Amino acid sequence: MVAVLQTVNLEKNYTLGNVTVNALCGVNLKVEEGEFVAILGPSGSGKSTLLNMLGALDIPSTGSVRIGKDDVTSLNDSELALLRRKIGIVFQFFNLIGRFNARENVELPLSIANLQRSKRRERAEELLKLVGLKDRMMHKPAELSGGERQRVAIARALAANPDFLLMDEPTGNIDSKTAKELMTLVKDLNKSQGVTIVMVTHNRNMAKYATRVLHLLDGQITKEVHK
Amino acid sequence: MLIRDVFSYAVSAIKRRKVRKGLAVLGVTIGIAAIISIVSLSSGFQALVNTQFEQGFGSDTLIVTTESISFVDTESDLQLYINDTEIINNVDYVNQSTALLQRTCVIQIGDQEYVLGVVGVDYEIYLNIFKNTFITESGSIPHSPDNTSVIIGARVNDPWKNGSALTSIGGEINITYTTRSGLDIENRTYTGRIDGIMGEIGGTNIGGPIDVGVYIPIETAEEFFETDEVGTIIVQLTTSDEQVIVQASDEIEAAFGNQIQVITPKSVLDAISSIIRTIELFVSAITAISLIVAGVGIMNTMLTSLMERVREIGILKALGMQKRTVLGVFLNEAMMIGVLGSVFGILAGSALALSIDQLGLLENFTTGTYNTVLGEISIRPVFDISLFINSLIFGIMISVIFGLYPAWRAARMDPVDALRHE
Repeated sequence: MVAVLQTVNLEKNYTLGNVTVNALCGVNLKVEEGEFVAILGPSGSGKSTLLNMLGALDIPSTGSVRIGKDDVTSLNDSELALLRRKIGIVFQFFNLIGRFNARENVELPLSIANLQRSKRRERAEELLKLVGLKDRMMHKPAELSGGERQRVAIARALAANPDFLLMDEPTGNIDSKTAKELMTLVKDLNKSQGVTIVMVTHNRNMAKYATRVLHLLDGQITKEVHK
Repeated sequence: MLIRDVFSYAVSAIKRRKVRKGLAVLGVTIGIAAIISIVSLSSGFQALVNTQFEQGFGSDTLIVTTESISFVDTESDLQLYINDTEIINNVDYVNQSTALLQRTCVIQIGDQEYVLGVVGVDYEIYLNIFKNTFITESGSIPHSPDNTSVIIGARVNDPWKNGSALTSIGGEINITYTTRSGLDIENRTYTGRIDGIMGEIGGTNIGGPIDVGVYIPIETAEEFFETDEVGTIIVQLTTSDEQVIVQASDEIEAAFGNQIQVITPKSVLDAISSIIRTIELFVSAITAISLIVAGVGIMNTMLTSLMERVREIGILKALGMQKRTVLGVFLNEAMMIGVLGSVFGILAGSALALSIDQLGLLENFTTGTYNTVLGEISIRPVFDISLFINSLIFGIMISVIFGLYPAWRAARMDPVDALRHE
């Protein structure tokens, strides 16, 4: 199997005032194509820091993060930006652009990647149909429910055909019934579409949908459970 | 991101905060409108001066005067007399010359009374020098005038410019000159006969005929004013060659011991143009400051917008937007404010200048001083395509310069910090 994501002795330290915080202390993980990996941990365990590293949004203090063939530590700003186009990120708080409708939000990464308007429109519509928002395409985020917004965010993350999908507490801001529906969709994307997924969560029930669960505690992976 | 997409992204951001961005646009509009209206009107003034000089004055004409054109120099005590034309006529390249014996008098014509300058001239020479302007519309300029002959300007006969003539050819005109000898004040009056009424000339004519002029034979003037002292002698040279003009000017000045001034039309035109340019520069500088204020307004708007959109910038960066594209997106917003403001400013400024012209606010701007009489001035704005282009470039430049800092801040934002922003 091909590794789409790999970290070796990944460490991240922050300085808060005079105190140095070791958010990640030697994380080693490897995600292969087609996997659905959940990183489970309580708040303060370093989940978000790890997600930022895996999403090429931040640079490790020591160790390495390899995304595909690229080592994040050896890339400059511009190369990092280009690398991010290969990663689909879904945030806890949706992070949609409020003045754009659902379709325009899904088109955004394609627009950033210089795709022609007609092609990206076609792609956005296709993805919104896939996530079950065929009739809500022209609605703005404020006119959509939490679950619908997160579906738009998933469609946006998938738009540029990413190497893998990175999800940060995707169900953290929606009710449990909608959360289940959403996770069913995510599971289906992994199963039927073969999308590689890395999900960060503190919720054991959500982690159950993954094929592999990594337990993160105090910046270290303490346990790994395969299904 | 494709350039078209950068534009439409900027448009969507501007649309979102219509009032705030509208006010930033208004700031640029006001600055550009001020520049357009002021520069077009002062260009109009410059064009007017040029036209008047071309029309009223041959470039082969000189003005010899005892009065200084400068405010600093002291005036000479040397007087010019009517017969000094003989000295001047002996100078090389001088074709002819005539003295202007001008005094301020009360003129009574019909039931109308004015205080005007009455100028004694040699009709024939004056007509030779000012072929294009010393022309009668009715009556004629007699070759050998008797001492009651009077030629009047168009405005003297029709002061309201509505065709209501006060008198006609052969009509009477009473000219009263007030003089004093010690404590005795004497009013001297004579009745003249109108031989000619000039056509409309318009504008300024230094030394030349004007619409509010009253012209009498120089012999009559000498007798009536009881003096042969004159302030000005108009000289026509045989050529308009610049070297000849300089040489003749020097020789005439030398002939009078350098106590008099010889003014060439070009020097007057240059002096006026230089004053106009200085005023134009000064006023433009003030309006440029207003544009800089507008620029600060743009920067403020953009920074506020930036603060509101930190998270959005984080999203764009997380989706793979490069630094230079973020910079481009924000600069584009500032530039669009500049483009809109400049275009509206050009339209508003042109409309303002045109409405000033249409409402006649700068017409009938009449003034007169002894020996340097300005006639009626009507300034029309002159629009030059380069004025529009330069204003557009300037407005956009200011917007981009002031948009640079907010755009740079947006571009260098850290995606993690930006996404964490509440």
